[in-house]
Amino acid sequence: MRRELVIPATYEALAQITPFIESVIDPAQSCLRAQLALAVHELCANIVQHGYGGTEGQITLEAELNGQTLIVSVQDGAPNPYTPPAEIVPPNPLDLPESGWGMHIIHQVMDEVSHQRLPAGNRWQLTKVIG
Amino acid sequence: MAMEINSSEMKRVQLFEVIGRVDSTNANELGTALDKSVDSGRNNLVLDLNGVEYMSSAGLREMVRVLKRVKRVGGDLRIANPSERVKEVFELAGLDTIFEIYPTQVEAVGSF
Repeated sequence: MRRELVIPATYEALAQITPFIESVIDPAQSCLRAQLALAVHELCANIVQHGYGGTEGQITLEAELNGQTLIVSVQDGAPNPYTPPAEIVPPNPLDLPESGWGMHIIHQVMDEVSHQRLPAGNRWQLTKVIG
Repeated sequence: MAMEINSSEMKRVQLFEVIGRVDSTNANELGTALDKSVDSGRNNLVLDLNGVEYMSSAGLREMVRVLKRVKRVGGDLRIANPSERVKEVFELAGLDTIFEIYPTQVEAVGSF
């Protein structure tokens, strides 16, 4: 099963992500569906905030369930370059930082997170084996 | 669904009941409501999240910011009655050990 969704790069449009991700996952796995939707939402919120930084644009999402493996590809045309940290370190509870929670959640939920810088934009691939 | 915040002044606590979806579009409204209480000297806050169907890290960020603010002046921000979805988000972020979380509103308010 493969689905595609194209949304404007705005915070308001991110509400479309939950029904989109839920459409490819078995409703019986409601907890997992919610976590996956949250992870994809967090990635797209980062794209809106840091990638586009208030400029107009689009985000294209593709979700494919191949057997037990879910692959979500997210592509943007964001002008701002982004280099993910080599290692995701959980935010230190003693410092209580006010940023970094979204990326931490993405890595907590997904099995693999990859990023590729394109000539104009970025491509992300989030993979989860649904067991 | 939009977010709704109902605030009640109790003897020692300011109680906030939040309903709906908390995400990047409205998390700052939640932060502003909490800040208003702290600005007026009411630093013991309870956030009832039973009616929250969805929360993203934008909501967590506001809560962490306000938690740090009230802790500096001897107050606290405690969570009551989170929905299962919200509880999962706290756990995923590792914030379930940072915030005091109570199963009911009565227990959270009574904890101050």
